[in-house]
Amino acid sequence: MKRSNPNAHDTIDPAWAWSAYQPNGAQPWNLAWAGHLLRRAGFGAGWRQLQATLAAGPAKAVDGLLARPAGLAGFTRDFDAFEASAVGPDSEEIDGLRGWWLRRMLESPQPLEERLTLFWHHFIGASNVRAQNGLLMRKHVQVLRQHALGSYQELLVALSRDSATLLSCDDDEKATSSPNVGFARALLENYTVGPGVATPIDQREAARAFAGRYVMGKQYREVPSQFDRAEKTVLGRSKLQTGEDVIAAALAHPATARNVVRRLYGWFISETAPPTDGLIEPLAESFRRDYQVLPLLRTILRSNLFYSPHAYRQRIKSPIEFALGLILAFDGLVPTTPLGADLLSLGQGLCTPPLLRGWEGGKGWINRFTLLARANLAAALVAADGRYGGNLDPGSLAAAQGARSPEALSKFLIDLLLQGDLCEHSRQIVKAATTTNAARRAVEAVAVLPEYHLV
Amino acid sequence: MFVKLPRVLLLVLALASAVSSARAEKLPPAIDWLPEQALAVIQVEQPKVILDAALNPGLQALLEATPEYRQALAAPQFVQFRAIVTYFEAKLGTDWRAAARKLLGGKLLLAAGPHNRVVLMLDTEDAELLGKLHSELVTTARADAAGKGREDKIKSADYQGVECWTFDGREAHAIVGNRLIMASHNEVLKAVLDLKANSGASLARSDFYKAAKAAVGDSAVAWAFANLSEVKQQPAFIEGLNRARNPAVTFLSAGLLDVARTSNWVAARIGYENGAARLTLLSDGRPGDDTGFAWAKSGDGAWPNLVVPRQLAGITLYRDLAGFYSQKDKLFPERTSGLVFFENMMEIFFSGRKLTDEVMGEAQPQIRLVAAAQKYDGAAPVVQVPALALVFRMKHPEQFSDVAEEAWQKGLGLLNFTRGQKALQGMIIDKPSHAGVTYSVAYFSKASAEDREHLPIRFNFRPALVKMGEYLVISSTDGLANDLIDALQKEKAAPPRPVSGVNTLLTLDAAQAAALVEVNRSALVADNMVKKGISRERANKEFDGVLMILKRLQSVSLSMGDKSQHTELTLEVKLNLP
Repeated sequence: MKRSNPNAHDTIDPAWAWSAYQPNGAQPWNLAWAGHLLRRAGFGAGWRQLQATLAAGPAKAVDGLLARPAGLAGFTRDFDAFEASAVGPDSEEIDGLRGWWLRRMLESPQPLEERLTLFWHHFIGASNVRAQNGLLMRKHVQVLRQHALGSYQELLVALSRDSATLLSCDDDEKATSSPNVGFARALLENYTVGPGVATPIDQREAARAFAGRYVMGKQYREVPSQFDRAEKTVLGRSKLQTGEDVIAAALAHPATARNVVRRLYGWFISETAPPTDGLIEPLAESFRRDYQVLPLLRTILRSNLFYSPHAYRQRIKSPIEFALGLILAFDGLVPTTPLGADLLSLGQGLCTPPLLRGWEGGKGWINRFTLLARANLAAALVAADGRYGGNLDPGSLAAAQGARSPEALSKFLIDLLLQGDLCEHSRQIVKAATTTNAARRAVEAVAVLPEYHLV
Repeated sequence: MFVKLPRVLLLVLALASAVSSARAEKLPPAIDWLPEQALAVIQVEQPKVILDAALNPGLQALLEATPEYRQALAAPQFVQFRAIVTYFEAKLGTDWRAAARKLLGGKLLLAAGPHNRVVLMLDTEDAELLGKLHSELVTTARADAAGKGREDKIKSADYQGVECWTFDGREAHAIVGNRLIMASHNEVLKAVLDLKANSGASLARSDFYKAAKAAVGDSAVAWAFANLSEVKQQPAFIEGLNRARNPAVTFLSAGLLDVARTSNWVAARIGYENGAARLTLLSDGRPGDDTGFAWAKSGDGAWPNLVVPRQLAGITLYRDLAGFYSQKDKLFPERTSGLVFFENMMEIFFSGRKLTDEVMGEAQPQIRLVAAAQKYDGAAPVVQVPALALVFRMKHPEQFSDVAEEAWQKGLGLLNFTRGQKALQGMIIDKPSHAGVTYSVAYFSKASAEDREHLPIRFNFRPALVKMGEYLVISSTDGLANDLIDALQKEKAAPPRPVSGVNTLLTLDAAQAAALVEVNRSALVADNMVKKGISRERANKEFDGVLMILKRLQSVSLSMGDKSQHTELTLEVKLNLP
C-alpha cells in the first residue's frame, strides 16, 4: 500500500476525487483494496468472497454490492418473521431484536443494505431508552431498512410518522395550542440543514406543521382537528402547511445535502480529517437533485478517493465492525443474542445509541477498557467452547486452504484478516503466536494489533 | 493381522471376558464378597430385561434422534471400537448382540468405595464363550505388544487359590467359577477374594444395607444402594444442600433436601415392564419439624389429579401453606427482609389480614395445578402457551371467598393501572357463567390488537377466578376455568379419596406436549437459531429430534411421599415403542 499524507484533504482535487477509480501501476487493484471495499460496503468477508471480489475488479465488485439480489425479498420476509417472534408489543426487551439484526448483518444477501440501515440508525439516533418498547424499535429499524438505499425524502416522511423516532425526539404530544418542537428541531438540526442554520422561529414554525400527530398508546396517530392549517414560513420558504411541506423545504435548502453527505463521508471515506465544502460539493449537488442514496453510494464506492490513502484505514472499527469482521472472516455463525450484549458493553448497543446524533465513534470507541474488552471478545468468539459455542474454527478453515505449518498458518491469517498489509514488526508478533494447532491463539494475536482496529 | 487395542478398550473387553476355564459351581451372591467399605453399589438382577429394552428398535430410533448420540456414533473412537468388535465377532463366530446376551445374561454388581476404588462382579451365562474371548484378547494384546516392540504387561499370579490377571499392572481381575471379578486396584481384588475365603466383613451384613434391601424388595430389575452416613459428613455434600435451599425448591420438593440430611442410606429401584421404565428412590431419612408442612398425617395425602380436555400436565400437592410460611425464619433466615416486603404487599391485597394465619391458613393442604393446551376462538397468538390453573380448597369459603375475589380485583386493577402508565392495553373485566357458576374473568380486547392476524403473546391470557363451594380456582384462561368447573362438579358428585402418604403427584402427557411444541415450531426454531448461532436447517433438525423424543414418550409421572416408614420418590416413564 502506497503511503502519502492521508490527512491532507484540503489539497484534494474534487474532480479527481470523485472520478471512477481505474487500477493502474501506481495504484493496482489488489487484495487490500478488495478487503477495504468489503469492510466499508459490508461488515467484512471470508476468504472465498475476498478472492471473488479480487477477481471481479473494482467496477464489477461495486456493481455486485449495489445490485438488489434475487433472494433479498425472501430473506427479508423470513427475518421479519423471526424478529416478530422475538419482540413482543408489551415489552421493553430488545435483546431478541439486537440478536436478529446482528444475524441479518451476517447473513444478508445484500450487506450494503444492512450497512446503510446501521448508518441511518446512527444518523437518526432513535433509542429504546426513550421508546421503551421493543415493537416500536423493530418497526423503526424496518423503516430504516426499507428506505436505506432509496429516497432520503421518503425516509424522512416515514420517520415523521414513526413512533420510536418521535418518542426519541421527546414528541409524545403535539397539540395546536403548544406544539412540541422536539421532532422539528431534530429534523432541522440533525436530519436536514444541520446545526446553526435554522432559527428558533424556524423550529417553532416547523413544529406547528407537525401539530396533531401523536404517539399515544405506543401508536402513531393523527388527529385532524388538531392540525394547524395556517401557513408557515420555514428556512425562508413560505406558504407551507403540512409536515411534508416542511421536509420538502428543508431538503431544498443547500445545506441539507452537504450535511448528509458529510456524515456519509465520515462513514465511508474517512473520519480522521473533515472534508472541505469544495471536496464534498460535487456529491452534494448530485444528491440534492433527487435525494436518492444508491447513486450517491455508487459514486463514493467507485471513486479514486475511496481507493486512496485518504480513505484506507482512516476509520476506527466500531465494535460491530470489529466483531462481525472476525465472524465473517471464518465463514461462521455465532449466537448473536449474547453478542448484542457484549457489543453493548463495548459501547455500541443496537437500538440504544446514546445521542440523537448517534454514537460518538472514531477515537471514542477506544480506551484502555474497551481495548481489553475487544481482546476478550475476540478470544471468546474464536474459543473452542464458551458462550459463542466454539462455532468459529480458524484452524479448519486454514487447513482447508492448505495452511497447516505455523508459517503458512500465520501468512494465511494475516492475508485473511488484514489482506497481507502488515508491518514487519506486527507480522513477527503474529508469527511468534502461531504454532501448529494454535490457530485460535494466532487469531487472538491478530485481533489485538492496532492495524486490525482500523477499517 | 494385528488389531490395535487402546488400553481403555482392552480393559472394557477384559471386563466382559476374563474367564479362563469355567466349571459349574454354585457361588454365593456377589454382594457377600463386597467389602463393607463400599459406599455405593449397583446390582443388576435381570440384565436381559435391560438388554432387551436397550436393543429395542424403537429405543434405538429414539436415541438416534438425539444429536449427542449421533455425534458419539460418528466419533473416531466409536468407529475404532466398532471395528474391533467386528474383528472379535469374526474370531468368535457370533454377533455382538448374541454374545452380549450370553456374557451379560447373569447378575451384575458394580460398586464404588473411597479413593475411587471400583469393583465389578459379573456372573456370566456362557463361561466358555468368555474364556474364548479372554484367550483371544490375551493373544491379540501380546501380539500387538510384540509387533510394536513393547513389553508384554499381561501378568498372572495366584492369590487365595485363585489365578489373578492384570493387563496393565494396575487393574486386576480374576475368575471364580462363572464369576468374573474385575477391580480398579489389586488390593480391592484381594479384599474381595479374602471375603470369598470368609475373611473380613461384607457390606451385605451391614444394618443399613439390610434395611435398604428390605425396602426395595425382590422384584427389581436393578437396584442401587448408597451409604449416606459417610457421604453426608462431607463438606461438599452439606454445602450442596445449603446452596440448593430456597423457598421455591423447599416448597416444591417438600423439604426433600432436609430429608437427605437425616438419611443414613438411599436406595434406587429400577423396574421395566411393558414399555414403562420406573425409578424409585427410597430413603430412611425423615422430615423434621421445619419441613412437616408437606407430610400428611396417617391416611391423609394429596388428592388425585384433576382431568380436563387437552390436559398437558397435572400436579397435585399436599402442602400446608401456613405451616410452610410460618417456618420461613428457620428455613430461610437470610431472606427474611425480602419476605417481609412480600408479606406487607400481600397484606395490602388482603386488606390487612395476616398473611400466615388469615390468608394462607384459610387454604386446605390439598393444592392442585393443571396445565392444558388452549382452544382459541379465531386467530391464535403467534406463540401459544398452555393454560394454567391452581385449584385450592378453602377452609371457610363463606368468609374467605369474597376476600380472595377482592384481592383478585385489586391485582387486576393494579395491572391495568401500571399497563396504562406505559400506554399499554388494559384488560376488560367480565362476569360470565358456566354450568350455573358465575365467575370473574379479565381479557384483552382483540379489537385493540396491533395486528389481528398475528396476535401477540398476551392474547394467551384471560385470567379467571372461580368461587365454587369450597373450591377456589385461579386460572390463566376462562376456557380452562370452564373445564375445571365441569371437572369439579363431577368431583363434588363423587368426592375422591386422598392418596395416602403421597404429598406430590405429577403427570405429563407427552402427546399434548409434542403437539404444543409443534405448533410453536417456527418460534422455537428461530429462538434456537439466534441463541445458538446455528443455521435454520440445523435448528430444524434439532427441533425434529426433540419432537421425535416427545412422540416416543407416552407419559411421565412422578410421585413422592412417605410410604411404609420410608421416604419414597417414584419416576415412571412410559414409552411409545413398537
